[in-house]
Amino acid sequence: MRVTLFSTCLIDLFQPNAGIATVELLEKLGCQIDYPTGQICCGQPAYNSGYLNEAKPAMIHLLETFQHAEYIVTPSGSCALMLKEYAHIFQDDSKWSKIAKSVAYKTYELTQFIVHVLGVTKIDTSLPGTAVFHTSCHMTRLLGVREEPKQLLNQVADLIIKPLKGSDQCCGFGGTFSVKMGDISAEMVKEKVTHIMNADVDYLIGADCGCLMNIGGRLSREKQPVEVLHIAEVLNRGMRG
Amino acid sequence: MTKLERKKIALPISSVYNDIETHSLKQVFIESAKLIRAEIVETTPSHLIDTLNTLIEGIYANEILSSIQDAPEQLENWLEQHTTRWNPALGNQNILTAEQAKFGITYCDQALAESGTVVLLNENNKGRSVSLLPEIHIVLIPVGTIVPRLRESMRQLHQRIKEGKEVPSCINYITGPSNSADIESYLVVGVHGPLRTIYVIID
Amino acid sequence: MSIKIKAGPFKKRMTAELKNDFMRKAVSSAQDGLGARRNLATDQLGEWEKWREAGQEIRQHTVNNLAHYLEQFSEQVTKSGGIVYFAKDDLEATRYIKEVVQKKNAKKIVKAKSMVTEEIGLNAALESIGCEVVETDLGEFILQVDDHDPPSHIVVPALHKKKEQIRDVFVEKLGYTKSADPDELAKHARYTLRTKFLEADVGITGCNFGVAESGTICLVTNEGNARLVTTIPKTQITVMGMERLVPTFEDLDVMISLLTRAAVGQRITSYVTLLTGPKKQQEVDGPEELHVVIVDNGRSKILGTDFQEILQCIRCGACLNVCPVYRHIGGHAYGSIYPGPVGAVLTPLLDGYEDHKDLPYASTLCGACTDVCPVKIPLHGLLLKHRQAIVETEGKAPISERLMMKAFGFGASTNSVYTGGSKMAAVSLKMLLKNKQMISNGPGLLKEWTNSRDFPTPKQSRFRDWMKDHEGANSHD
Repeated sequence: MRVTLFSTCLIDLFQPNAGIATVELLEKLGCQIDYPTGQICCGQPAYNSGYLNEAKPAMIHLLETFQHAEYIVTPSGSCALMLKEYAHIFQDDSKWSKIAKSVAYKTYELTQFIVHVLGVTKIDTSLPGTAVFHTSCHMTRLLGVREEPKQLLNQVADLIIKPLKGSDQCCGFGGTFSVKMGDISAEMVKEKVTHIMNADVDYLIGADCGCLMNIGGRLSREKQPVEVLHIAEVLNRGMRG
Repeated sequence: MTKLERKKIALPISSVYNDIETHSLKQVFIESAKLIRAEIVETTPSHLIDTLNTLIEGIYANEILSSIQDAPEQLENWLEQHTTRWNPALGNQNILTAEQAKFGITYCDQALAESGTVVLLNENNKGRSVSLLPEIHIVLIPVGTIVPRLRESMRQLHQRIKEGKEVPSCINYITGPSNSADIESYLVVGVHGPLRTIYVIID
Repeated sequence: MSIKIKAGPFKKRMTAELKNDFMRKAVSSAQDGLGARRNLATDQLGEWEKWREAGQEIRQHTVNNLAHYLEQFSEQVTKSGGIVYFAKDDLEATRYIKEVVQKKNAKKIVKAKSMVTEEIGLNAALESIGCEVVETDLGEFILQVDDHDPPSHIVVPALHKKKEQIRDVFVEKLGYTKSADPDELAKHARYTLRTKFLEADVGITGCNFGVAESGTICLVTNEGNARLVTTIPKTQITVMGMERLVPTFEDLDVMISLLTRAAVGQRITSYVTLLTGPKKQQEVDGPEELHVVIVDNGRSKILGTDFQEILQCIRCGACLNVCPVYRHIGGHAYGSIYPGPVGAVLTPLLDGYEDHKDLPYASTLCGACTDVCPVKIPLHGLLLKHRQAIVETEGKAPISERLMMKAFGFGASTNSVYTGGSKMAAVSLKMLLKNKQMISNGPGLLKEWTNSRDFPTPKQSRFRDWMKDHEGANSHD
């Protein structure tokens, strides 16, 4: 199966390991990865701040880059959501509306793709230890991907996923919110970290790099010994090719 | 007035309709009433007077106000003897009586099983104050007045309007004693309305 | 009071409120408690999603046909003996109400809780003509006695107050001699206010729902004060936001079922009171005269715009109770009597962007509000629309941010710029490294991040560089 990867700017610049794990994981699951190097950013940072006109060039560039893909897979819930929004954003655009609808339709978040398109719910891998899973707001509430990551993680041998208090409360990232309203963002992430530390775990696992950078950044500031992993890194770890 | 087109939406059901398949309306009503801190007394038509005598604990008639009209003979006699009646001819004096009263006794016109609610249609001059100003509200609930939930009650009101009839100037849906959580989210029972509500279910 | 409660920049209010430990603890605790009760009540009811859809249809249909239902409602109020007055704005509303009060030579007024009366500044207007206006809802009474401290929540207005603070105020202003125990404080309020109810000339209420088919005013309460306000005084004035209608009693069933559960997790409140017209001629208690003042004050301007759905709001407060931002900054930080997500959408619409342009940005667009709204208002979507309006049409975004976003647009659409930029970032930020992996003291905007969190360094070798060399993958232009 041919999969076109949208790696996202955050992974490209700050968390390449998550991208590498995604590629290796999909290849082990029998996919052939197509990577158009023209890809840059889905446009979220500008779009969510209200800068529609400034975001459009980035979006159009992405539409150009991915228009011929069969499956677009991205290891980011919020970026997958943004691509799905293109259908609405470009609906009155005579040039791009059809392509935007098509791109939106064939975009998948990673775990969504693994479970629903590849039909895989158990990946033969192990990670001894305890973890909490951070459910990011855009991925759960807005994209509707709630059970898929849990399904996959529950099958990872030797890994115990503990419940996380306040799991449906936002971690405070919100893209530019984290710097525009830095003080409020800080209080939100502090509360999130308190809940994580109370769970007493080895790992924090998530499927959105923005959230992981935010929470990871606070864990690091507090010098907490919790390792932060993207779900792709967990599923790829120790998995035989 | 022309009626407008509306989108057809499936009317949602409530779990109470399941509950009343396995339990009686009375049972469901009592369970709900317990949750909202009403005091529940079950009695029969023949034991009603005894029940009322126990409830009023030797308080005198001038401190017991009643708005009940057209009561069956035994009850009517008891009310005459032991309570002050809401009497429109006395005007505002009634309100002062209500303010001084320890008990206010009314019937209910309907009761809602889902929430333990009693419905008082203040028509035919029954006096809004009787269920409001006294410290304790005693409401007589004939078991036949219990319906599943708000839906049945509202449907009847809608029907009255459709038939061109009037609705009463005041309808009260009362669920237990008054309360408030305005102070540090702590639940205070008994604020401006009655401090206690006694449901006398007559079966 | 009017919509605005605190002047000055949002940042200043927000910083001050973040330091208010008591408020933050009270708000988190209330959110957790109300949230749990709400979930219990909606689970118990069953099919909550279907209920929300029904609620959305009712309110959307009503707002889409508002003129029709307002006409029907006011005809019915008149038919049942009430007097209707349409007020274009706060001044018209208060002017009319002052006239009614003066005609009656009324001096003593009791009020049930009503956000719209705060919006139009009614209390101050009545006090200016020598009336005593007493708030009778326990929370509002406490705030009024405490020198008109503004509300911080639309359902539990005194959420930010400690019981010891309340006791001190009662001691100072009401001759109170007992403890800070909430039961005793409430008892004293009951005792103090009883006299006020009995002596009042005029009773003023808001309106949770107006039923168009019958001209009925529906009040949804717990304390009993709204009943007293509408039973004893001889004149009743009900103030209603023009959008607060439902077509029929059958619709009212759905709305009450949604409101009480979404707001406070109750199957129904202690009192739901349906008032149709003044008292009948032969009746003893109830008002002899009923005035219904229907307030526009900017609502009609919202009709036909992208923001119309906010008029579906039934003021349940559920969005406040799930908002992670409200959780930390509380109601006063919003600077409006309408705080939280609904306030962030509504306040700029009623009071303009000038003083309120920060509010739509006080959100991560997490969608919790949209998820919980019983009438399915897309709240976070409306916040985004505000941001777009602030940037595009209003031109109120800070210039430095505009330039940055323009640069973003360019850099995120042009590969050469992106490549150059990202490689440069890696090099220049390296100078800020405390250790090789994390930045803990960033420049400019990054400082907002690094004040409380470490920031990862941009990697010299980006993912795409690895990808280029990765065998088996098709990396192409």
